[in-house]
Parts: sequence; structure tokens; C-alpha cells
Amino acid sequence: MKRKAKERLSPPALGGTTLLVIFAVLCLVVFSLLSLSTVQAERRLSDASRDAATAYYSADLEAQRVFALIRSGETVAGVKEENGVFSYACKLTEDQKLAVEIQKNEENWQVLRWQCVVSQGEIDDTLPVWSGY
Amino acid sequence: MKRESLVLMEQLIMILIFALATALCLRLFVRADAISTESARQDHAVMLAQNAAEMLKSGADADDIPADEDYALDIRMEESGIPGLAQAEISVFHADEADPVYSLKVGWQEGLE
Repeated sequence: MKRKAKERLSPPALGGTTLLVIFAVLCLVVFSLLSLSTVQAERRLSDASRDAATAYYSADLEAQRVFALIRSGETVAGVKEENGVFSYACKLTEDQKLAVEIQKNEENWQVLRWQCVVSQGEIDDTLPVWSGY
Repeated sequence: MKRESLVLMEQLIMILIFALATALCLRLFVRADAISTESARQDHAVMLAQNAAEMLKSGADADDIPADEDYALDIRMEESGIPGLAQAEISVFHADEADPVYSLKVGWQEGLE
């Protein structure tokens, strides 16, 4: 009995604590780096969203200015007129523009188009996959 | 050296290492939380500014545009210099910051049906 009690009270094996701490520290480091990379991705998305909103409202303001000048009867550079339809575009980003078409109907003006479009080339929607040949 | 004292020394060293690592990782967690809060605040401010811009364009009065809790809207009408064009600058403030979180300029036609 005495011998058994002595065995039970013996200290834990050397190195057990080290392994436990290494595991805990690894978990902590991995989780903290994961959370940091996640919020940095969120931050990039948030900045992109802010820049997109700013670019859109900047182009929209420019388009409204041109619209107001046309309404007041002024001639604006870059505005085409065809059969009473005025069309022009304002730069949104490097690849996008805000295309506008307005028409005067008797007393009132009608907006036919107020749309963000791709300004250069075509959108590349092809996937670089092996076609099998 | 006795085995018990070796185990005790190992445990003390490991507690020290764990405390150091925890302190470093806590700093990372706090930084992540700050970035996350800032992003959420910016997203909300952009959304509020866009809501206000669209309400102004649809003919709402600047005083009737609501802001959320902890946020304040400052809508300043500006002189556009072009007849028929109204212009305003919308700034969104947060209760914790003196500077605006987000600002936006918006224009719209007046006198159109």
C-alpha cells in the first residue's frame, strides 16, 4: 500500500509541460494570424467599396453638371446630339465610364440612359483552361 | 539535481514562455479588433452617405434625412454656379471621432418633373 501511494505522488514526466505549452502557443499564434489576415481582407474590401462609391458619385456629379448646362442651353464639349437625344460620358474609373443619354420632350427632359459601362475593350470572360486539344 | 526540481524549473520556464506568447498574441488580437471596428464604421458611414445622397436626389429635405445611433450627418448645401443644379456635401461623423468618417459630394437637377 505504501509503495502504491508513493508511485501515485510521483511528479509528471519531464517534457510534458513543454509539449502542452508548444501546442497552446502554436494555437494562439495561428488563430491570431488568421484573425489579422481576415480583418485585413475585410479592410481592403471596405476601402474598395468606399473608393467605388466615391468614384461613382464624382462621375454622377460631373454628369449632372453637364446635364444642367445642356438644360440651360449651353454647348458642352464631348456632348453629341442626334435627333434631339444628347449623349455623353463621364469617366468613372480607368476601365469604366458613366454613359448618359437625355432627351427633351416638349417642356420636360427625359433621362434615357444613366449607366455605368466598360470604357475600354471588352470584358474578358474566357477562362484559361485546357480545351482538350 | 532532483527530478522534482527539474520538473518545477521546466514548468516555471514554460509559464514564462506562455505568458510572453500570450502577450504578443493578445496585441495581435487587439489590433485585429481595431481594424475590424474601423472597417465596419467606414462601411456604415459610406452606406449612410449613399442613402442621404439618394434621398436628396429624390427630393427629400436635408433636415428630414435620419442618421443612425452613434452617427451624425452634416449636409451642407453648396453653390453650384450652374442654374438648375443643386449641390451638397454630405459628411458622416461618428460619436468617437472629431473628423468625418466619410464625405461625399452629390448633385441633382432642380425643377425637373
